[in-house]
Amino acid sequence: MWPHPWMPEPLSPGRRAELRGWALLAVGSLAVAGALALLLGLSRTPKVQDWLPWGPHFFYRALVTHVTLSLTVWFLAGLGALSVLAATAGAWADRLGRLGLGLGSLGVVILLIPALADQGEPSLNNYVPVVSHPLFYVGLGIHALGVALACLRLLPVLLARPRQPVVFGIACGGVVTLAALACFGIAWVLIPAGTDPDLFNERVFWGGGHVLQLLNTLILMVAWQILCEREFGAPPVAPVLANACFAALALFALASPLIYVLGGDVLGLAHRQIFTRLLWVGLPLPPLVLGLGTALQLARGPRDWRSPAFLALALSLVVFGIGGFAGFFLGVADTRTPSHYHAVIGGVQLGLMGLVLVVILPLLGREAGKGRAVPLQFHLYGWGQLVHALGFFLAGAAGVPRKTTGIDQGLDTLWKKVSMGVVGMGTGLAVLGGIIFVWMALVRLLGRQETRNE
Amino acid sequence: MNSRMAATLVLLASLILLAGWLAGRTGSDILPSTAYRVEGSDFGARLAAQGASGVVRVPPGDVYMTARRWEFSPALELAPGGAYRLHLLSEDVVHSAAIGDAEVLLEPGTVRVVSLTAPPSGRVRIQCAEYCGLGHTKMIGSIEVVP
Repeated sequence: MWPHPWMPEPLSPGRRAELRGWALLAVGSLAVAGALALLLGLSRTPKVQDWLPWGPHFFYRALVTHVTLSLTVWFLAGLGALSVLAATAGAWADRLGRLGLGLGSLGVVILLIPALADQGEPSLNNYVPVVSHPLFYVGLGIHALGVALACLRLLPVLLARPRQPVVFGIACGGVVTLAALACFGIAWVLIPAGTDPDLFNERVFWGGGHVLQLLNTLILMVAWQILCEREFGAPPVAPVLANACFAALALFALASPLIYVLGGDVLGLAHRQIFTRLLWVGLPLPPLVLGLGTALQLARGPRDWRSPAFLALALSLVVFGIGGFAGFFLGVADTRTPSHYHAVIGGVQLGLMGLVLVVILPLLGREAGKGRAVPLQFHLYGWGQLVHALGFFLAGAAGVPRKTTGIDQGLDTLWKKVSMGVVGMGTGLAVLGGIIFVWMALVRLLGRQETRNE
Repeated sequence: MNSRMAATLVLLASLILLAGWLAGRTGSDILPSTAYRVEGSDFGARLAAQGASGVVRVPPGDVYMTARRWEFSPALELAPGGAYRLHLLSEDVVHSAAIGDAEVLLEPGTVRVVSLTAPPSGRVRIQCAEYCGLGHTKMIGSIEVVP
């Protein structure tokens, strides 16, 4: 027999405060990322840019900080929130969690300083772009330490070998995060002093950045597991199979630090490519299995297109699935790459949004409500990400290079222009959906508690 | 198939994939090349003899190209079907040259030599695939095949 659907234990006041803290850090980071995106736009608007108190490099500093907040911090703080729900009871676990939340929040405040003070060279390296300023690295490190402390308390959970997939999955997320942080640390130690800063940033965050993609996927799989149980009263697949999928991702993450021993020079090409292959061989199978189970549940129905759990499930599955499929058709450096990662990350975002609205807010006694805003938000964000990714894919197939703007994009054919126009349209829709989500979640998290949840 | 067997299969497949991943650390996506150390001035002399700037038409054989933030230089014109030995040197920081689906890392002070057969027409795409700064994605070289 399958165990009953997962229902979290009633939270102690301390755990409830910690959960609210992680949720505020996660959603608040999205809000600040959104504000930075607005400033990004203004910094490239003729006339308006003359009135801003920042120099010409502000665009890139703000871009880097925007990405750090809207991806790295949002997902890691999201995991911090999930860790509250899975950690074993006990004073030491509570202390680790509170300390982790404090450090995680302090780190974010510190890493914001260089962007706002217009200091440090921006670096658009892969996975975790940085501002090369001591305060940015210190902030990032303190944030990571905070999340690591929250994850440490998940290790005893694994030792107890829980049968419940949600708990096991979250605990595996803790292992994957610790493995990613180990990769960052090992790379930092191995890279010789005096290495060019751009190469240093690229290689420090390369291996661990790949492992973080396993974490993002795992967060989405946990979301599918919980939301499926909530919406249909049944999990996507049998618990033993779900646990095997979570364990498979954790297995690859645990092996990743070995690459720094087996994979040759940390600055070499073989080292870089072996981590690229991690995403080819280690990532597809677990979400494929769990995704197929989720698709079957969605097909069986009932299909309630106003239910946030249903919308988060359906849209995250479609967006993530298409993005994953596009990953097998990447070019070297054209916009098919952002097409792939915007879609897969968009899928994870939709899953985590679903967890915030369906699980975390109600646990805090703050229901998202049944108004039109919730379905509207999911539709705008989900379809917007899909259109955005489609435009990027078509543009990339026509040769438009990634990470370029204006004349550097070489939009010399109608096809390229239309494709990039589609990208802009999708962006607009997704941004609107994102704003509605952040607004809804922040208002409820900051507002007075509505109901008791004992 | 029951769920326990499916779970075993997932874990077994993952273990096989993991072993393959750990064992197969080099791949066909690394461009075969030979290397030699060189002083910048020596390479500069060979480059000057060939033509160091603008668009340079080169006969089959040895051909020289430098990489620096954020360009490959000079632009080359190759003869259709010609067999070339492309000597690549980075002048500043680590770059890479991605040609087709494979690439080679370019470290300052070391020339990488790759074999290249020009197609009948069109262009050979060469671009940097190792992050080298804000202009990295613009670092695309021009190699045209001109009858």
